[in-house]
Amino acid sequence: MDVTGWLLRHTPPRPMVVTAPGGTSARVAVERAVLARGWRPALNPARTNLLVVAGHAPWLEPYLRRVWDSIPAPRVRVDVPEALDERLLDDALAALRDPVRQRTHHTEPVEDVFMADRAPDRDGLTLDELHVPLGPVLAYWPAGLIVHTRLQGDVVTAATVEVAGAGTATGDAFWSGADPVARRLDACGRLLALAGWTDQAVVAQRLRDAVLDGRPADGLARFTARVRRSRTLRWLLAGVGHVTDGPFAGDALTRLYGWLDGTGPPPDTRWALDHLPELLAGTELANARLVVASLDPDLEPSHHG
Amino acid sequence: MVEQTPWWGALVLPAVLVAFAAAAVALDRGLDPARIGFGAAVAAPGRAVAGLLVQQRRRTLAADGLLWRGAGVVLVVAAVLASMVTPLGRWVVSDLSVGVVWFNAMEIMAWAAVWLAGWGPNSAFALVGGYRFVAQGLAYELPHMFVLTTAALGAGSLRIGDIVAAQQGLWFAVWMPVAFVVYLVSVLGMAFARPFDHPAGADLAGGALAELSGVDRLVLSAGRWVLLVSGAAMAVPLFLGGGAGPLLPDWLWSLVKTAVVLGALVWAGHRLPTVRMERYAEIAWMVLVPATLLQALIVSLVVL
Repeated sequence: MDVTGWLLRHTPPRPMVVTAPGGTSARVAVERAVLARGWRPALNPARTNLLVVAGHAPWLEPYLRRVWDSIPAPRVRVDVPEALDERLLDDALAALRDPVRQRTHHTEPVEDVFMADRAPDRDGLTLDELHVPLGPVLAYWPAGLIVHTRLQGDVVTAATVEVAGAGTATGDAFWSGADPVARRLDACGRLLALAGWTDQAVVAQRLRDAVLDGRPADGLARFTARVRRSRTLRWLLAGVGHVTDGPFAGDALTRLYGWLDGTGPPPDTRWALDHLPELLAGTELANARLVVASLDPDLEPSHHG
Repeated sequence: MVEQTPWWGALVLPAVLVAFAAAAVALDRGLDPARIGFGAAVAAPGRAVAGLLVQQRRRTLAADGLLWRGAGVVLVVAAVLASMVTPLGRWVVSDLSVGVVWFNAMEIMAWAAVWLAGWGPNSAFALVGGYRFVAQGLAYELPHMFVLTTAALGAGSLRIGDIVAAQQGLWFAVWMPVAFVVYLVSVLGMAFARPFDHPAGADLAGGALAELSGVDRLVLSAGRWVLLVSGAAMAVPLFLGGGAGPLLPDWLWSLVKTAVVLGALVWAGHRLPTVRMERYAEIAWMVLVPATLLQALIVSLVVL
């Protein structure tokens, strides 16, 4: 009996979706197909066997190669430049389960060593400091954004923002043609997923897809009430990423509630990029991720990058 | 009341724990809002195992391979050993006179295991996940130890068999409700199960588990689920009267009660967002430590 073949045939596909700036339409289509097929998304290269690239950006290729090199076999890469043909996913699944196509390669350890030095910490002690980039390939992270952090333990001591591929802050054209409710639900889903409430994040995604289709978003009121009612969520998000004025005044919780109520905050990527370094400095990594998701910067690809 | 099994009981125990762990994974997938259907949920644990068995083991540069890959083994062994003192009906693999202490000592090995899993691969996100588990341990462990002490106080013995016998009139869960609830919360914490899954959080791309693949990941995930099962199963003799119950045989009552506790824990994980220690530690130290101490005080006055 061919054990490897049998195991491969029963391997659940675990897609990891990487989005290039301007790839929102492809991302949304892929996320929808993944949910419909009951596949569980992977958060990291070690867990994935299906690297799905939504959109296209030449500058992203070196990053994708590193990710690809760190994905253990069996593995398949699927490129979805614009619209998703479901057959792409069927073919990928067949390739994943084909022992002949999966047999040959071996992965080598990827050079993934972060620069390290020492600096005084919050209490004035000298402590190791790592230079860790967040993005551009990171789950629930804005496409095209790279934040270079200095980390002491899990505390971000300093952060600088890079917009990869010299993109601009006008936002993905996909959303300008869509119902703003869909975009807000998209942002809600990302923030809820980062807050660890996967179940409600999936509900947000389903509602987003319904709104994009022009179908009645049954359950939108129930979802809104459910999330607003959660005392645990209130306790966990209150005070995170507090801003005193500007378009995002309030904290991660009030921004989430704003999306739920349809009152705001309006997308303002320029403001977000300008203020991220000061908002992230001194936060714990978990809070830094929540802050970025609650500002939801949306980058347009550059036309010459 | 509780008697030790022959030597082969030690072989049956891991099989029972793994069966419960598989059922918990199936339930977890069944509760997913992706609604994959009953058949797919039941098949999910088996398929996950198949996928991990055929997956290449990942290597990272300058990893501490021994400690990293050893972490999963430590977790599995600790989780199984912890259950050695947990009775199934009237049978127990080993009815140690210090059963409660043994159980607690085995659980604490999880601290080392998860920290090593985070530290081993030489990766920033995994390392932060490891840090998070240490912080989590500091938050859940003290209240957890106080509630274990409370159950032992109620029976006047550290032997699990005596604790079961002391509940013949009234379950400890009824007259030590605070201890019971805090026990369940700390079980979720020690197994870093949702909503206490921050050490393996989505914001860290999987945290302490971020770099694990293949059989290494299989072993560590199995350890994590078996630890959750171990904790759920121990709630039965400590607080729910062990195998006591009408009509059904005592071993079946133990299984039913364990399944209910385990199901409730998995279900709770779907209802709540991830609890961050930065917020939880304050509640653990300012509310749970005094509350569990007060519970212990009340119990010791009652049994005086």
